[in-house]
Amino acid sequence: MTLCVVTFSVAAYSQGFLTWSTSASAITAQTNSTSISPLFGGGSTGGGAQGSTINTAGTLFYYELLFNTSFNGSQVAGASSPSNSFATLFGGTWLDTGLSATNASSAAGRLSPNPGNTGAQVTGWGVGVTNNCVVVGWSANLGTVWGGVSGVSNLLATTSNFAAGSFFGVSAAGFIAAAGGNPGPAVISSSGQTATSQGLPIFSLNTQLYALPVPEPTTIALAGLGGLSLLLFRRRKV
Amino acid sequence: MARPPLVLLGEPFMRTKTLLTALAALAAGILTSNAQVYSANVVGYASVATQNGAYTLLVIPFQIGTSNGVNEIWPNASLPDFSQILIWNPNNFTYTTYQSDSGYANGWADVNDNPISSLPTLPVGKGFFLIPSANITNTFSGAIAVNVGNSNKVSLANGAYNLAGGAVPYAGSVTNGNPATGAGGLNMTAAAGWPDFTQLLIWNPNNFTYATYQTDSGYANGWADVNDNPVAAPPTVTVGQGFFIIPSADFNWTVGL
Repeated sequence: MTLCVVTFSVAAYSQGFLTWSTSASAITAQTNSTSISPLFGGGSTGGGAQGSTINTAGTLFYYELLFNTSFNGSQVAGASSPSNSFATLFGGTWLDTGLSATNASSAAGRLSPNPGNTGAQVTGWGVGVTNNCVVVGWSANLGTVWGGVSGVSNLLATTSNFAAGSFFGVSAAGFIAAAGGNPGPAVISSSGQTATSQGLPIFSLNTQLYALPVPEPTTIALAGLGGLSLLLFRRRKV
Repeated sequence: MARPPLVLLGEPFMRTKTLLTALAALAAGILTSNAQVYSANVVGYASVATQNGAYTLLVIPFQIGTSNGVNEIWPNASLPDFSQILIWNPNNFTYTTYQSDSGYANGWADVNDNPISSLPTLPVGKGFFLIPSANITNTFSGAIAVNVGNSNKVSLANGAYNLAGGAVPYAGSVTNGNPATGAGGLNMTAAAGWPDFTQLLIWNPNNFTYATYQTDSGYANGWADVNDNPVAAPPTVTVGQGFFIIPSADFNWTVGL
């Protein structure tokens, strides 16, 4: 009976309900070979070859829903304006909801929630409280979890050169009010093009996961020359 | 006393056009001549408009196809791709999510967009949520599960959260209906066996909450709000609307035609 009350009551200060699902009509992702991640001073848009995030052997991508409590009545800029969201992405402003996803195996670009939940609750997100939210996505070679010392967020905040084949991106932003009933409103929805009484769900088709910077060839060449010089010097000494 | 109308028309965003002529003829026959038309069944359809992304709590009031499978209720990929249905599991208080996906042979996938071999069914009287990925008017067409003159009885257990709906297409006050047979409405009254303090949860898609009502035979209209204060009128439903019933004791819910 306790469970029943928790499920259906609307209690002040309690955690609200959200639906965590990743409908392909509302969010998809693809890689972009352009190494211009706004996280590292690049532009926010650009061409580049777009690749698939389909779940094939050896290729995995992870996604995490983040939120912040600075909702001011309108949609914050997402991937299109790094100054508004990326700059604060690792500064403690954006918090981890614990709601995650991976790339789906069914078709290119689709996401699979892990797990899907119509009654998802997020610590610090109360009933009736509207928060901003974005989905971040990254390639598995960066790590499997977002938060923590060994998490991807820490890696991205402290590293500037990555292995080839590393990708990271951020969806368009949304804002949602958690509800008192189960099911809660969808965080991601094809209705996210128009705000409703529950907010504006994330609507982010073809979310771009940009290639992360790798050591430039000139840097590699210089390092190689340095190493070669050391070898030559050692030979002369002998 | 005149029987209340079985089906009302003109509800905004939820409109039913059953084959009223046939239905009215059958009903009139019963009323005027007491003819024993017990074996006749009635077919009809309901048009229910649902909006992109909205959470609509529905029930299918018709027998459609052989099993009320989602492929029979929405044939020929008539539901937009990636529309979702949520099927309630009262044992663990969760919903199982399915989504339409015309990329698969049977047109449906699980929440992770993986193909499914067994399609979900939506039996008459069982409520579910529909979240379409585009605005769509659903046309539910089939036979009314209850034959004229018969009743449908559902056993509801004390304390269980039953996601349900009318077994017949009906709109109006939940108290309408013959207490013995249930004919003419949803029959949610003490006279029909509903125990006091049984709760009825009506979904509000605008704020994602439920309005809670409860039966209380101490009040003239038999219904109270969640705080057991009297309400001006019993709750009402529209055709195809689902709701939760939480009984305060075991009882049989009788709905007839």
